[in-house]
Amino acid sequence: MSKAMRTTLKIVWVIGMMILVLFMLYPFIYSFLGALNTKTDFSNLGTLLPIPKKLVFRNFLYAFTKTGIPPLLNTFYRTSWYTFWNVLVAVLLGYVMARYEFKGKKLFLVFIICSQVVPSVLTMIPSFVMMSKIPFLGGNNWMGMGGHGLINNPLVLYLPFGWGALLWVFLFMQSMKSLPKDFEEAAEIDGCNFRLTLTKVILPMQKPILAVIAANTALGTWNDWFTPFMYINRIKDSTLPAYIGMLATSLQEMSGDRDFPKLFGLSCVSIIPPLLIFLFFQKYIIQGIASTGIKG
Amino acid sequence: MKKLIAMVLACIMVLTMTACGAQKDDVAETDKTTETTKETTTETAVEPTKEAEKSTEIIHLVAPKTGFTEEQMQLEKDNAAANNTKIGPGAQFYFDVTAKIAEQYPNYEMEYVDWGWAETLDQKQRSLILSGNAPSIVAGETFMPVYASSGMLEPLPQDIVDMVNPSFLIYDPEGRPVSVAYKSSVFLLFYNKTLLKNAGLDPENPPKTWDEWKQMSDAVTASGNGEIFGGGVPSFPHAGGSLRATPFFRQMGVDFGGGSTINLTDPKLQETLQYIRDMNANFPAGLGNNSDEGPLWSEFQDKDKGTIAFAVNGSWQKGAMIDNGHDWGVTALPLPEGGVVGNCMVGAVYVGVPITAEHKEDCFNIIRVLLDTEIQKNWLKEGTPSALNIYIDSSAEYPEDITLQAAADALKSGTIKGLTTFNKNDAQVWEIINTKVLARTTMTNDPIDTICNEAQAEIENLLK
Amino acid sequence: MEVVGRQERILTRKQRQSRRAYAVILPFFFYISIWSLLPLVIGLLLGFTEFNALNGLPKWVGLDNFKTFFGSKDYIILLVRQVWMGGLCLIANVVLSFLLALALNIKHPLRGFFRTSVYIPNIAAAAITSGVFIALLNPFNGGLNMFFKSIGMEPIIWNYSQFWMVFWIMIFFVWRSVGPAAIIWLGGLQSIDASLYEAANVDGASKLQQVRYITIPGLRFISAYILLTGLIGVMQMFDVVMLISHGNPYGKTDVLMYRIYRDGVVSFNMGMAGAASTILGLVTVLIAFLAFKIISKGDKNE
Repeated sequence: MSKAMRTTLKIVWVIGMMILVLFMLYPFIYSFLGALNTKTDFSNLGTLLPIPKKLVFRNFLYAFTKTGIPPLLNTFYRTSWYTFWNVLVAVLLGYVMARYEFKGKKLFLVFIICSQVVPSVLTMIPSFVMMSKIPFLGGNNWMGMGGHGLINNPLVLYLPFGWGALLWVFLFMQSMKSLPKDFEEAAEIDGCNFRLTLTKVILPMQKPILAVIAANTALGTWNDWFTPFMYINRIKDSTLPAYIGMLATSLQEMSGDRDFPKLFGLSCVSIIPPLLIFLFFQKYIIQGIASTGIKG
Repeated sequence: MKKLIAMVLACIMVLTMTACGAQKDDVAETDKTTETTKETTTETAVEPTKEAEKSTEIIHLVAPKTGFTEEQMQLEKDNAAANNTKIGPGAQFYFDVTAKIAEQYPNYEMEYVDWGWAETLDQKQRSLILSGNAPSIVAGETFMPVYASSGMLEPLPQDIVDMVNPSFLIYDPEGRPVSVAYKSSVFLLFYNKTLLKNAGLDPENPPKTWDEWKQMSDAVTASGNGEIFGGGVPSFPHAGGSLRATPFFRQMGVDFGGGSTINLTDPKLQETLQYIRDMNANFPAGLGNNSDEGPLWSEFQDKDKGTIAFAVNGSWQKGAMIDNGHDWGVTALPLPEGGVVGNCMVGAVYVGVPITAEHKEDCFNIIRVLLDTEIQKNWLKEGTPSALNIYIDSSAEYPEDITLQAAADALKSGTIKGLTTFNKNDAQVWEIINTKVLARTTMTNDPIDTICNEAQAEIENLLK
Repeated sequence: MEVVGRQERILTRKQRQSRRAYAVILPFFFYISIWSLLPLVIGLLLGFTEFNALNGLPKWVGLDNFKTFFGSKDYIILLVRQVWMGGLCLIANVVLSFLLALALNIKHPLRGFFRTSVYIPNIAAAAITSGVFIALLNPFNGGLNMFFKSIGMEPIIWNYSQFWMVFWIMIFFVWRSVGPAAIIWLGGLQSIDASLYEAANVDGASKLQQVRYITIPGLRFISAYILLTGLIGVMQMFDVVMLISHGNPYGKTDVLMYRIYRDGVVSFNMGMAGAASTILGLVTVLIAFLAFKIISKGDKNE
């Protein structure tokens, strides 16, 4: 291939990718511009890019009012809490499943795989009944009667721990398989116990997969608006995406009056933290996936 | 090994501690409440009548659609400030109710919850009922008859029943009124006089029959050159469609059925569907049966639009027509030849008290505030009929308002019902009617009897 | 301490391992099962009952719900549509993400930026981004149709046609999930030993032959992984359908999972929701199991 042809190809590639990137980011550009409009201006526009006639910024500010800040903080707490637990469970269980031989290991593996196939809608309503009848919480006695259980109880945002987390166990297990056992054996000979082996030898080498787990859990928890929406009534105990969800559903009143710019404004604010999480972790995510080489 | 067990134990302990901590919190909270109760009791102990003691008992009530939370109030105020307008009468109603409850019943600890509307509200309420935590008051529109027919609502006290027009009540299987709408509207035909004039029609002579309406609408569409349209009967693929189609079926003396029957095979019903299909040609393509209603209303009512001549909507439509400075009129829905007057309740907010609720009498007190004579005037200002007999039987409060008078006439002419209900799988049956009957009628050219027969079979299977 | 230490020494290595494993795994499994397995069991039992969540307790009706499922063609149609619509989305996603990965596998200063950009649609919840699609696809004054009008084309009434609704569902699905899949593919492409290509070059193999004999075999595990997880994902796909088309036009893009969702939390036909999701769950597990078998077979051949 001649040098000139190579350069042309490169330029074509860059232009093509630019167009693709524009397409991928277009909805975000659209919502950002849309949020700068007033409601009536927006409904009259009907263009591919809703460039505002008159700039309005208040659509972005709904999340930073006095009502918006407690849910914002709750979202941060909840996201960090679940990120921590998911990583811990994935490391402990994944390590044991990958390295130890014990009876019933196959059974656990089947359990992990099957759990990932169960449609989540199936457990939605039964979970609700269960949450309200859980013993010793929210004024319930040991029979689970007498109180409201975890309904409207802020703990519901922190206690439940479903088998969605087992996916990360599986991932860590796979990642362990690609790591030679020599390191641990050497560590054991040096007199390292279980905890030391794990923290000093394994974890430093598994940083990418840990980042994958942490980033994915953080993104998932942040975006999970349905759990708080379902179980919590008070906005101050809820999370930001759930607050947005509440507002979004109350927009669908009978007369079909939907305030798109406000919806776009709130959406723009609510994707900033996941965006930051992603930008911060992306190197690890990509490296993690590449180095795991995910072997079936 | 030992360390591991210790770690696991520590984990469990942390969890139990958080759990116990929460319980302690709750206990502490109850303690506080008892404390405040004690305090207030000692304060009022000067006059230790039973009445006084009773009124100081803190009563916690959870109620959707009966008042505003602080957030909602702030939002309304912000919106009004941003648009440089006063708070609308619809929102003012909830402000007034909230204030009145606080004033009249200081011992009520009200938790006004915003659970959205329609499906979202239904989901939230049913989940709570299911888990034995029913709210003090349940609210809703299309699904309230289903609640009522399941026998889960407490019968209303006689004084409330006497206050309101029977059209605003829902009855349980034993025939007792169990739920009341504190406001509701009926469908009317709104029209844009400017567009009628431009099409060479008499704007002071609105259509009286289906044929007249069709002729006028066709004329507007024909002279509109694809810019201006006559408008017809919307067939949105959700409750908004069936609500607007129901009055036309009732005018022909039929309905979709109800209970455990469905009668899509009725020739009169199919005739009505044919009319709805014909009228749909007077909408811009895709507007009359879009799942988002918004664009249609914006075409009809927005200031610089106003491109549709006729719209079937509830009486609230009036507000936008005045605000946007249209030259508009309103009339009763046109009748088919040999038809009867028929309509359907729309935009209603029904409230009821679940049998399992504590403090039922206090819940009814809340409903009494909702039906307060003074506060109800807000709805009249908005252009929505009030539930109260005094405002329906006499138009003294709204002598100028032709919309409300037309609506009151419709209400006085007989008991108007909401959408009919089915014994089993109500929501699913309505979904089939909305999408596979109404929307399909206007979206496709499939023969109407094929559409009806297919849907009939599918629904019969659900009602078995 | 002394006693424990001696005991540990007496136990064989295997016994020691299994004890430790149980001590780690069992508490967690127990805790996770409370929150997941228990509701699942309750949910499965619901499939044999009639329950509307308003009054009373679930009523045992045996196999009635399953009879309704197989007795009327409506549910079967939805199951079939779930499979073919999900299949279309999956195939489009796998093919396009592979092409994207090939395009991203070219060294260039801008590569990092491109890689980040294609991943971003996935980080926002579907509910947040679907608003844009709804605003654009409005048949009357939506951005797309206004654009068509301005260049003199006939506007398209998207919501009248099954074809266009499936098309937009696919676009939304692929737009959201092509980035992550492409990055997994990219990881696979980069994990293939570069010396293999060099050796092939020395042997005079063409580019096409290199792809056929090096790239594709090297990516077998990755493709299996993408297919398997994608398969499970699309068999449960309904949020995209709910947000973009609501099952319109007149139920022509409705899928079984969306039906289950509405049975469960819209019409509160809990029994039917339980039965239908049991069936869908079984079908999904069956398909996933077959795929898993094929992968492990490949593993042995290796």
